[in-house]
Amino acid sequence: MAKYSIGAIASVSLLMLLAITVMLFANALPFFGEYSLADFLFGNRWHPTQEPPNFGLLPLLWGSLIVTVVAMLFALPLGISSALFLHGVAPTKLREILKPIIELLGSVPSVVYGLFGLTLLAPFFQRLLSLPVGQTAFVAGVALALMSLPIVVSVAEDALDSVPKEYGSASLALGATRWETLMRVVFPSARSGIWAAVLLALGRTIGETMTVLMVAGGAAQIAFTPFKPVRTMTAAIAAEMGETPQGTLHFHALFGVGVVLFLLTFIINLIANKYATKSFK
Amino acid sequence: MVEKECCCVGSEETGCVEAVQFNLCYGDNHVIKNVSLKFPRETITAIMGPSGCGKSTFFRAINRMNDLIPSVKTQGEILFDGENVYSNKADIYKLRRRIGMVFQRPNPFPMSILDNVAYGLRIHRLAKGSELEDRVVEAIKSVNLWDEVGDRLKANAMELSGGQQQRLCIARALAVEPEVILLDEPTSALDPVSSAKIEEQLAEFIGKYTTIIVTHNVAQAARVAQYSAFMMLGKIIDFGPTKEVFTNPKNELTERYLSGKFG
Amino acid sequence: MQQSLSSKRLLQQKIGFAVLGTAAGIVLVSVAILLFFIVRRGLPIMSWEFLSQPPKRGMTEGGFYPALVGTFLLGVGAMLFSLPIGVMTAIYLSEFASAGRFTKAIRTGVNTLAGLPSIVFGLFGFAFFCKVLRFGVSVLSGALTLGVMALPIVIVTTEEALRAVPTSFREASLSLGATRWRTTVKVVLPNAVSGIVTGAILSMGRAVGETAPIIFTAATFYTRRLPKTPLDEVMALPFHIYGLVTEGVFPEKQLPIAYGSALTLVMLVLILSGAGIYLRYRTRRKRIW
Repeated sequence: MAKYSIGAIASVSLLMLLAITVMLFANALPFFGEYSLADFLFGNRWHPTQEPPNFGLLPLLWGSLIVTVVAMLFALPLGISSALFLHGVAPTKLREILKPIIELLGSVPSVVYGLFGLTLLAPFFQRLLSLPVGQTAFVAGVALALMSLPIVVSVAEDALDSVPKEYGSASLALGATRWETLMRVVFPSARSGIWAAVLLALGRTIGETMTVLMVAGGAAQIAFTPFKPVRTMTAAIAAEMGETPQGTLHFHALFGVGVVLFLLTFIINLIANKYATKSFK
Repeated sequence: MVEKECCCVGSEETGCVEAVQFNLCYGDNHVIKNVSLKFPRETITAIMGPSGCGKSTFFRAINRMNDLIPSVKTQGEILFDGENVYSNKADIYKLRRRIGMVFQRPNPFPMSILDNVAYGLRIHRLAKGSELEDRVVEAIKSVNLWDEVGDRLKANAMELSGGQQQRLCIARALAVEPEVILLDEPTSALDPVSSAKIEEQLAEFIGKYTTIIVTHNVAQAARVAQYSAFMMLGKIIDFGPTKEVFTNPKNELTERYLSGKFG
Repeated sequence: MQQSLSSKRLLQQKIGFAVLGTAAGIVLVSVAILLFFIVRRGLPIMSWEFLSQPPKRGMTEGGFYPALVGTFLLGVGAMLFSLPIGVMTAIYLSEFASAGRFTKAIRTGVNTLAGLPSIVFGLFGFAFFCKVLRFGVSVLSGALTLGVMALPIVIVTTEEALRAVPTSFREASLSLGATRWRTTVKVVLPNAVSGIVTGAILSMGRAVGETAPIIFTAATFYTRRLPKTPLDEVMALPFHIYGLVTEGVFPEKQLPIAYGSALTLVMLVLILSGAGIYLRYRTRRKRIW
């Protein structure tokens, strides 16, 4: 008996996911009734308040993409190297102190990174690179990199830690140095866990809202340089939802963007979880 | 007692291992107490003794695998071809190439069979290209694994059975042409059939490698080892040709261990 | 020749370790800079008045007391929703579930929830709690939205704690004739309490710091009064910070307030998460069985 009542409560998370899906699609549906899906997916202009309005997703998608790429370019090499350092170089004592601190930093709210990016990083890079505007995709990417580093480091270190110690002993006993053991045996053995870390960070970065809303500049444009302002999908929803009367086409279009975001992160996380469960017994 | 004399200092002979008043401590715990022992060249010596007697520690001291534990302190010498492996000048990477090691549980790397055997050759830059492959094949053949895996060298080593994995680990150790082979209870995680194959393998080591095997299995020691040593509480209490040790032990404790009174 | 090969390889190791160390150093230094600036800019404005007064003169003076209260209410509300449901779900997954389709579906659901962007929760909360359930822009809507978002954290942390209880404990109880449910309540749960507390704290830490889910569901930029019922809207710290730097008319006066609020928020979240992480490490290490 107990099994079924608890099972019912356990299904709440599933129901919530279902409700999220239904709510997003139901509210996006009116939009696609009036606006063609192709124009939405492949339109290169996002001008929701013009007459007639344009709801082309590409500028927003481009914004999310370029910010994410910049963030990953910084976060992945730094994060994975730091995880390798913690695992293979740092003395045990140091690792035991640093690991929880890094996990802790993962909980710093994104709005704080936004504040930091807006008031310090943006002016700094504007002066350094003498740019016309401070709030650019590049600065948003740097702020997001900072934010996703704790996830990358902590998940990648977990992956390295789950590699059986016997592999390391075998390598050392063959006369390998600690460096060779780390890079040629431990690191490749942790591959799937590292991929999980990469994908988790990627999903987090694409879905991150507040930092990009505050730092990326907000212009919905396709610029082939990271040193221009961009508007991401998340920022568009957050910035425009409040100013849009309910029931308008724009309102429903934002739910359409939400659906795209939902599907994108859903797929990334699905792959990430596949990798994560493929680790060692 | 016909002991093959080992006197490598200044001679051409290699593969000589000798402990001279060797002591080892983990922090305050004195694990190896003043052990002096010459391992006969190119023969198989078994080290036996109850759990925790220090036999594994002693054995790992030979290729300095204990270095990984921070609190380890040593005193005395372990001579390999006449040179103290604990001297500051010792090159532990070269040392570990020349002293191969096989572990209790098969531990192939999660890579292809070929990459496993090639690993040592690559890090020590002993061979490249087709020569590398030749030497890999040679090593796999030498452990009689070729018939079983010859057609799938690119397959992941984790797909092999436990016994095959262990023979692959032996091949991996042999590929870099060591002079000494250390085996740490190499069959304790295997089924009897696979164990028998490993034992057959060991017989081929005689005359080629100075082989030291730690084992719990008294019968195995009697089958494969020409020399046997008994360790108790960090001391070698008996050492000699296996037959002699088994039929006429010098120490009463050895006799009791062999007859299964403790262990 | 061999000797020189080894020294070459050791040099390679030295360089490699130096590169990794530099990367780790860069990470630590940038994080330190972040924290340093938040503290240096936020600390001067901290005072009892700042914490206990409502904002004045269009948020250019005064404190953020209402935002503090709002954040507290949202955090506690989110936990009140996520804790019971999360713990029950974890109990089901660890104690009752068989490896069937239903269990797999729940796991996939939890994993998916954990990976969804916070703004998607915001959209959902607005459409579902504010509109469909007619809770409006309110503490209730915000807390429920944050609660749904925090659910996976509670589930994962609690399940880890439950799974760490040895099977032999359960078998002992079951063999005495206890039911599964009684075994869970009397034997398993008491041994997993610290894990559950960890989950609760971590989920609250997460809920307290989030902005995107409450923008449309609960938060308002400016109010001098505190919510009287769960259906009132509130100020919240993270949203307060966002508002101060983006909507402000007098940035030179509002920026220090934003930093003060940020420092408070960071402290709050770090204390909550710090306690959670500390508890988790302690229970992992000090397990007596």
